[in-house]
Amino acid sequence: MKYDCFTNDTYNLYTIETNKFKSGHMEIVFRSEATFENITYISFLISMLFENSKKYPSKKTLSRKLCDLYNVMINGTSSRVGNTIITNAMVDFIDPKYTDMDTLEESIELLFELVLNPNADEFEFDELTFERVKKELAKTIESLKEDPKQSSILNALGALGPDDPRGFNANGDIGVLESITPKKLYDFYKNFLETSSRNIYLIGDLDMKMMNKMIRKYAKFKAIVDVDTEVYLPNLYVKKSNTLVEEANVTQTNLVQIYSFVNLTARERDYVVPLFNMLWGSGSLESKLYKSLRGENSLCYNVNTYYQKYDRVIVLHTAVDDSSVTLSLKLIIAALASIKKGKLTEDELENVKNLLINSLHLSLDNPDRLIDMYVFKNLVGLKSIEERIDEIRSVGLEEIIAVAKKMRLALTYKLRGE
Amino acid sequence: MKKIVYKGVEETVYYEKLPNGLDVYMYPSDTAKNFYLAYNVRFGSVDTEFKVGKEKRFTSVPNGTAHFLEHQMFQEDDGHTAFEYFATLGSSVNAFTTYNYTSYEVTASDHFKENLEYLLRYVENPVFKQNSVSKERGIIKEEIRMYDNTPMSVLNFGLEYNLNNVDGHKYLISGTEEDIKEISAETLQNCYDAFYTPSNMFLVLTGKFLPLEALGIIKSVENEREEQPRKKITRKVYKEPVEVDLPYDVREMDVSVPKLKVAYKIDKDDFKNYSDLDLKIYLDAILVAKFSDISDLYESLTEQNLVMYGMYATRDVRDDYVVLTFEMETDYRDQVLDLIRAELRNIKLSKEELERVKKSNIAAFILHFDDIMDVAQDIEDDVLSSNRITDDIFDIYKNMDLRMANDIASKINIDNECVYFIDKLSE
Repeated sequence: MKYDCFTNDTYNLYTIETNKFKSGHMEIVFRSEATFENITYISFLISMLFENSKKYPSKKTLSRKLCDLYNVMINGTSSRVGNTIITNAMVDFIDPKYTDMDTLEESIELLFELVLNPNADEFEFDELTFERVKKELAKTIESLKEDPKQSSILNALGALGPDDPRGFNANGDIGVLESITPKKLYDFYKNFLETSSRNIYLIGDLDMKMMNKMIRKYAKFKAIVDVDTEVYLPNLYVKKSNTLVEEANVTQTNLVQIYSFVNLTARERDYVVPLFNMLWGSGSLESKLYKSLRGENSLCYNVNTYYQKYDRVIVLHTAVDDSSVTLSLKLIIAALASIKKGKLTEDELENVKNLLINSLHLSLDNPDRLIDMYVFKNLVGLKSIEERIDEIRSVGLEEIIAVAKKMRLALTYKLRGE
Repeated sequence: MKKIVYKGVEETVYYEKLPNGLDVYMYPSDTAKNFYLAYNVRFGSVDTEFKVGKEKRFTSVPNGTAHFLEHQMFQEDDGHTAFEYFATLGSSVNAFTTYNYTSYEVTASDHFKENLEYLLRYVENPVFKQNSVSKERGIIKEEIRMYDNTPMSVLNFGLEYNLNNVDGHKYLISGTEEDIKEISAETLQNCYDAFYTPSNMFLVLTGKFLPLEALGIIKSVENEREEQPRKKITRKVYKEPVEVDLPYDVREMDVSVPKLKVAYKIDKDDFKNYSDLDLKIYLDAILVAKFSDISDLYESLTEQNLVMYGMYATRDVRDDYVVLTFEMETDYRDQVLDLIRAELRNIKLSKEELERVKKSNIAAFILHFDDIMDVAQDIEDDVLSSNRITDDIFDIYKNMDLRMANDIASKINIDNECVYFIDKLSE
């Protein structure tokens, strides 16, 4: 794989030239600040941009064009990473050796058509599209309650406080959504294009110099802006752990706990906590929590911990019969205590190291994940896979015990079933 | 080894039938950094009544047995689990059960030999103990409850229950809480002995490995396997009537938008000039052209706000019947149903529509080779449905014929409709 960077006036093009895949993948990656309002506006905006465009004013005309270009896939997403929102406008296309260069160029052009020429007049977005997308987004936000796992996790994170980005719903807030008009959204869009830093990433078996020229024809961005906000959220300060209980019309009780850390070093944050997390509750049926809650006590089907590195928290989730909640909590505490007391073997640590390294290797077969790694290299200085593997290999048991002792329970949340 | 070359992309699958009857399919990739191994057995949730060899009477087992067996396969003799060994290799392991088969998977980047050997050994040497079975019952009970709290699962399984009369698709893959109470260590052992035999199983390997080396490893393990007389498995077959069991059903759940799934059950005899592969390819084309986001119907449903997020249309070609299903979220159930029915009564594809679908199919086929798990899934689908790799699928797509598409479309009848609706909770 050959990595390269082409500097252009208003963006950089980062490329990975490889013959590993029969397809190519390109992303325009925007970066903006994660505020309560922004997250709803960007979520709405990205849905609008990928619904239709000036040239393809309906979903049907756009979808037909995608099929005609050999099922080229176009997609927009936004996700919060700590303090920032990363917005991706993506196109996946078949390697031109199976089609032709015109199909490739039209696919690239189409992505820029959607991003830069939306279905709007000079003041506001097309009202019919706006109303339809708004209604869908409102229902998406409301339908979170249909997934007890996701809703219990989001409710727990939301209880950390209204201004804490950890609790922002990635789809947006219904109150903010209601206040948005076609004009407000269009003003936001123009501002977004001018103030969000952006770069383009491309992977494929392509002549990248030629691709740079091709992309330059369509990437008509205005001034470049370099936003340099800190990506990591500050530590979650825990004065006293809280418990919150809500009722739901479900048969299981969903149990969520949020844990924060104090004074982690960069090495602990990047390499030790991921291993601790896998040992405790993530990664495989061999984790302490899985063995205890599922294997030995048959209390649940799933129990998982999720390390949110940029939020500096670990989120634990399980779903159990309501009568088993007390026992489950005891077992969770006991599993953590056993790690703090050093009841771990070198073999257990070696196993999770192998598992983590295996998951890094899996990234090498996926074009999207290769691009993601490139994005995060530029965003937070993510090291190469080889360097990360060396760091992972060097973590010792005493470091795992140390990070376990730095963890604080911030909140226990129960979405209680019948 | 037999070489099977996919036309259009010139990718090769190697096939070998071992002396004990085990089929091995291998797709090595020069560019992949990882490998995916799947040990599959033709034993799914529908296989609840069977006899082996010359047995006179059929054995009946509870619904959910294949799934329960899959859960128990990871247990080992000394109280340990297969997960422990794979954890030492850093490999990802998983298993799943469908209506028709069970699959045991390993994904990893290193230790090919150890992973492959252990996959074969743990699947071929299970331990069923009553205390372990009792423990697993609690876990599966929570799994069943989890699905019962998920509206989309309720919608899918609810529709299948009402669509079918006697066909095994009627029942939950996991079984119900009542079903799994009846499953014992003996039940699992009997099913294992009947179905987990080499000639009823097949291996699929894809990704970074050398086929000759892989075959050597497989042969050395299989040579140690106790010789088993090949016995024919006879599954009890009930003729599924084309009439649906219950045409309409509704359940209230805490949903923000009601969910609708409608199925049309069509007698396979109505399509008697066509193979299952023909039906799959052309029905897919019809559904894409007339019910996906490129269709006029989809446009009117979304532009009039009759459905949220569009509509999802699928087909399934089963033993006795073909089923077309349409799934969506809507506040306008009756209006939407009328529009779907009207469209189904008058389907006619244009040349332009078919050309569009052809391009889409060809692209999807090529793209699958970017993912070793997608290639494995394609191989498994082919083996399960026709026992052969469809190596000419590229040409089949290229040569799709408008007259044939419209003949198949003309045979779609909607007399046997089954509707499942998840409504909002009453005030």
